[in-house]
Amino acid sequence: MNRAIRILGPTSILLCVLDVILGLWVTPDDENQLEYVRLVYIHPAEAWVALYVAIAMAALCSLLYLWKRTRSLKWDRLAASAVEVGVVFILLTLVTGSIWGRATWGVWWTWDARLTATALLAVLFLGYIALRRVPADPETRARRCAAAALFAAVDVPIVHFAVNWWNTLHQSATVLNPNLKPRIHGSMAWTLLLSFIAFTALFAWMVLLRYRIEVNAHSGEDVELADALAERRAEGVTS
Amino acid sequence: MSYVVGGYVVTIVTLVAYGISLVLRDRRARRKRSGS
Amino acid sequence: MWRDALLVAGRDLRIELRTRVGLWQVLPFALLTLLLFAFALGPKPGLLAEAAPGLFWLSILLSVVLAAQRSIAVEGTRATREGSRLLGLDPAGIFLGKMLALLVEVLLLEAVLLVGVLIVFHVLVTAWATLIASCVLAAIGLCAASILYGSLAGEARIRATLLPVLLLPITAPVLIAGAKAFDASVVTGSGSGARWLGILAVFALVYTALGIVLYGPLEES
Repeated sequence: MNRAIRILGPTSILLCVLDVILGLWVTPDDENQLEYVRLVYIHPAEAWVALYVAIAMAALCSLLYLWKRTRSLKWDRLAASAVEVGVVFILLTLVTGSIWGRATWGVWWTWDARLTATALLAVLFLGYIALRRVPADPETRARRCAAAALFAAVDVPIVHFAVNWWNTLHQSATVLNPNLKPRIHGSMAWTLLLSFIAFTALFAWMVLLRYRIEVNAHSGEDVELADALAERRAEGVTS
Repeated sequence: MSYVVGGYVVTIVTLVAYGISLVLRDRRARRKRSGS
Repeated sequence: MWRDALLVAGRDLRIELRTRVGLWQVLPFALLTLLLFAFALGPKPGLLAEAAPGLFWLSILLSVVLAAQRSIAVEGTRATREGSRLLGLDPAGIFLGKMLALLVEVLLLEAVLLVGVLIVFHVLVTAWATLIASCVLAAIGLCAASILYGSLAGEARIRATLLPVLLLPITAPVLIAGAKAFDASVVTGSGSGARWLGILAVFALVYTALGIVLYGPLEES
């Protein structure tokens, strides 16, 4: 794992820098969205990471923790890392989405289905973190958080449909075209693909780093416990 | 154009700041482990 | 499992009958929210009638959180909960029992609040079937989710502030679907309520199933 972190770090950062350079300078403007299309090289990738990668990872790790045969605190720590890094990405998604909206629609916020669902997901993530901060022994906390992550993940598709239908059936006149998807071709397509890879790699690096922090922060406790047990056993031998 | 730059700047600043905080916390945690 | 469920449900309901917390605290709170909404939005009848579906469900949502806190508090401390497990009660049955007791309360609450909303906000209902179906399905989902999250949220003091933060985002689809279904059953409303009833049904099914399966493992330490 340490080697993975050492490799992923510089690699992902490099890919992201490349994405920024291509996005800001090399790729052309779009005929409809003009220069604002450049935001497509950061916003969708952030959204992808936050909404799909982070949640899928948290849910999977939570399942692995809850299932007795694979129960291990490492899954809990991995899930928590995914959620924490995921929060950063989801907040970024909301901000860049809002900026893009302001640029193309003229308003900082609109009840577009994706933005709304993202905002709701952000609150779900924050709830997980709030739950994590409740003082409890590691196993209990892990169990609660795993359950919370699972319940949230299960809710995501329901939220998706509810918000989508809620939005499209809105009767009043919409002057704004909620379509944030410009036509992508040529160098734009490659850069878009790059952005997804770059951000996913960055997410992976950050999660592993966060996981290692969690492991090291708690290793002291495990060592102390092992030492205490060893001492106790030693006492038993002499008497 | 300022909107685009704004979006990129926010992303970069946030990720850099968070990344640095992670690296620092990681160093501190590793030092604590080998130190104690 | 069902026998234990009925046992627990009966106990919870009997406690409620004796203490009448639902009657004297939750119900007034729900009616109060209607009043507050009217104050917030202003007395214009058109606006309130249009907003009525959403406001009704918002009141229900907030009131259910309150009622759920009460239901979980009845379980007492962790020691008491372990006691009931040691008695041999099936945890899935405990979950269903608490959910059923809460369901009875919530259905009664919905009925009273509905009458209030129809009268006070001047709402005319045409499709009663849709409305009633949505109320029942939503109530099932809400009760299942709140009992489930209640067991996650820990000890009472922390749970007081944590439960709303955990529960309300999850139940947002119920708010959306419920409000839309209500809207569909009103005179000036639009569309059929079918897809919204679908969402409510799926939500109810999913969280009841999760509760039956996971309530036990979550409670054991």
